[in-house]
Amino acid sequence: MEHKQLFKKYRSRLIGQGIIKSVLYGLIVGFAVNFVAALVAWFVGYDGTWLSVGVGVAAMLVSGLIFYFVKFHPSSEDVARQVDALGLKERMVTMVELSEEQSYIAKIQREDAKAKLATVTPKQIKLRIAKKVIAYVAAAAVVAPAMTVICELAARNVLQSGLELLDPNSGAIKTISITFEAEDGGSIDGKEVQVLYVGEKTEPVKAMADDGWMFVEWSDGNGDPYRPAEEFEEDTVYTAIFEEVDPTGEGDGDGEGSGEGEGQGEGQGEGDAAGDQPGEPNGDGDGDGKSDQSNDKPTDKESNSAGGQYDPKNQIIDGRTFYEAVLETYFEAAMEMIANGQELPPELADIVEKYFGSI
Amino acid sequence: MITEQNIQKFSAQCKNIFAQIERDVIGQKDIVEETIIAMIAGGNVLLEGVPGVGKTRLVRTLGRVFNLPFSRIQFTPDLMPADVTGTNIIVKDENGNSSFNFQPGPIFSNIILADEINRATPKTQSALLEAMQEHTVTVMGVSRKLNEPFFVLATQNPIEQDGTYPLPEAQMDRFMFKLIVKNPSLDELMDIVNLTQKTMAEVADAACSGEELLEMRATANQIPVAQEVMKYAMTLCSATHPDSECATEAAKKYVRLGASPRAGQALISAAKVKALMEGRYNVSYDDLNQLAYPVLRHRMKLNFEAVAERISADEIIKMIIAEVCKKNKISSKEAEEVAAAVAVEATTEAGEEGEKKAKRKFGRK
Repeated sequence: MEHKQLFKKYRSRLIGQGIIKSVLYGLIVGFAVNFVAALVAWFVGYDGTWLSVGVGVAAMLVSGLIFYFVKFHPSSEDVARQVDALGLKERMVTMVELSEEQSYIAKIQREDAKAKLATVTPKQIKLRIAKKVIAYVAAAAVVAPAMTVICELAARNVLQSGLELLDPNSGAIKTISITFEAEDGGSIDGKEVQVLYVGEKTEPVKAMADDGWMFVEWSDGNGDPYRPAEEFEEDTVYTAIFEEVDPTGEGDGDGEGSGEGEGQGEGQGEGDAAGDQPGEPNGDGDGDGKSDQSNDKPTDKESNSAGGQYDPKNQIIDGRTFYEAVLETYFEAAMEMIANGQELPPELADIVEKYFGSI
Repeated sequence: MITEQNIQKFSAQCKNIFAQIERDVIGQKDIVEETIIAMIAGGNVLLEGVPGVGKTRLVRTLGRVFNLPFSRIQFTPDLMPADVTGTNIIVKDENGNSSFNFQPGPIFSNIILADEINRATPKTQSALLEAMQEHTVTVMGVSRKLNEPFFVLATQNPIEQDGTYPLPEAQMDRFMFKLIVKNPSLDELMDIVNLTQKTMAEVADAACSGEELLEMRATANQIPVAQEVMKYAMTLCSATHPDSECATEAAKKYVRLGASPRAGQALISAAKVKALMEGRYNVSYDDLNQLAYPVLRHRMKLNFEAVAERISADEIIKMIIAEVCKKNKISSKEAEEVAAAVAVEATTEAGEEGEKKAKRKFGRK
């Protein structure tokens, strides 16, 4: 193929131009894909910044190659057309077409074309890129990175995601973790680690003290061992704090809890009696409590403790019922049955035992 | 088979033909060139122009330069077909027996000057149809072959339309070119007057014979046309049709009927001759664009919108070329001109709008 040798210089120039064009077209596609990926990631609130960038780069490379080999890779005809556009009046196109022909007219046509080809240089072939393409590249180069930044900001919770913008409640897809831990001396009755959607409530849990221990409070200062269903906004850890009960029944003076109301009155009456079982409903054991040493004027804060004084707030059975109300009934029923020489049913015996064991 | 000699002879004869014609015809270079192209390509030519611009003189000169028998038919409303083609007359022999004898008309020549062709009735005009296309004449069921080469060079006056019969489409289509002969420029006019003051005699000599003309035609026919150039030529012809697949906006807007396939044949044949006359061995887009005007202008039937807007066929052809070139990414003079015209129009409109605004503003003050 004689013309291939003749077109060598021109082809090299066109290959360079083809690469530049392919890169520009590839950039448009890459940025477009990057934009779409970042848009989708931002919309669904997915942390996909690097993914969108990676997908965009991959799309740019693949589309750039496709553009080059399908559209911008110059064939002999393309080179001939480009050279003809320099004023050679379709001599090159005809020469390429007649390259196999051996007639006299084909030969003189080739000679004529060669002679004219010598009058033009490869540098005369100007790189022509449509203004539209440059505008698209510039626009894409601004829009796609901007979208990627928005995606990243949304991932860092600086901006809202698309779904959040459309529906503020749609944040439900975000999960948080609530952990209930127990220190030495007790355990958690219920699910210790709970993974929830925002807006969802936890399952109730209860801090259970081991024998010889008593529940003091949760790490957030809540003195109620029972934690009902709650809503949370962020990851939270609650630790149940327990304290060992002095087996002698003597207070160390550090007890935080002290009753008020009924417990206070009764406690004063019997407070000095040593050896009361902890958790007696009549507020026995207040001798352990601080209240004893603080002239029996406990504050509200102190009342949360299980310091031995009766406090209806702390007395719960099954997490629902005030012990006082039920105990009276069960206790009287149990006493009556014992007095009558009857055997206590296991449930009643269990309730009474539980009560005494939990105070 | 084309040889180097053929090519050299072609060039030499072309030069000679132009040189001889220049001796009698002053100016009208484009018309002379296009007429010669048509004659070498084997086509008929319709010359349109006001009286006195040298149409008849050109045709007479061509007859002499090509050293071919030349007939002049002055078309008038009472001219009959038999006056053109010839007729059978009864002839008595020595024994007194009568027989029909064909008396050839003026058409039995090589170059026919059909002067003011549109003054004859359609019946007489139609007498030329067969001769122009098939180069035969049929009288009373007998077909007779005309001499080769055979050309009809017709003239018509675009101004005086009273008592004229516009040529039918079928006849128009048989003219390879319709050339518009313009008034000479000032310099040309001075030269014409100077020349004719000295002598009215036509001095051009024969430059080539009929056989040599046929050889030149055969040589030109060998010129190759690249596939995409051929496609462009056919697209150009097809683009004149308002309902074709490559119809242009201009055709859709202004054309009722586009060019026939003969236009495509004429365009390619003429382009080959033009290329060879320019010393090129291939047809270019420029050749086609330049020849599109004489080839297409009489083959397109304009619609009412074009007539109402006083858009000429040439303007429509320019728009079609510009549109086809733009679509095929081909640079052309027409495309540049149309783009420039559009830009000027937009600027003018913007200027007018600005003036109107200024006037309104001034009026308010």
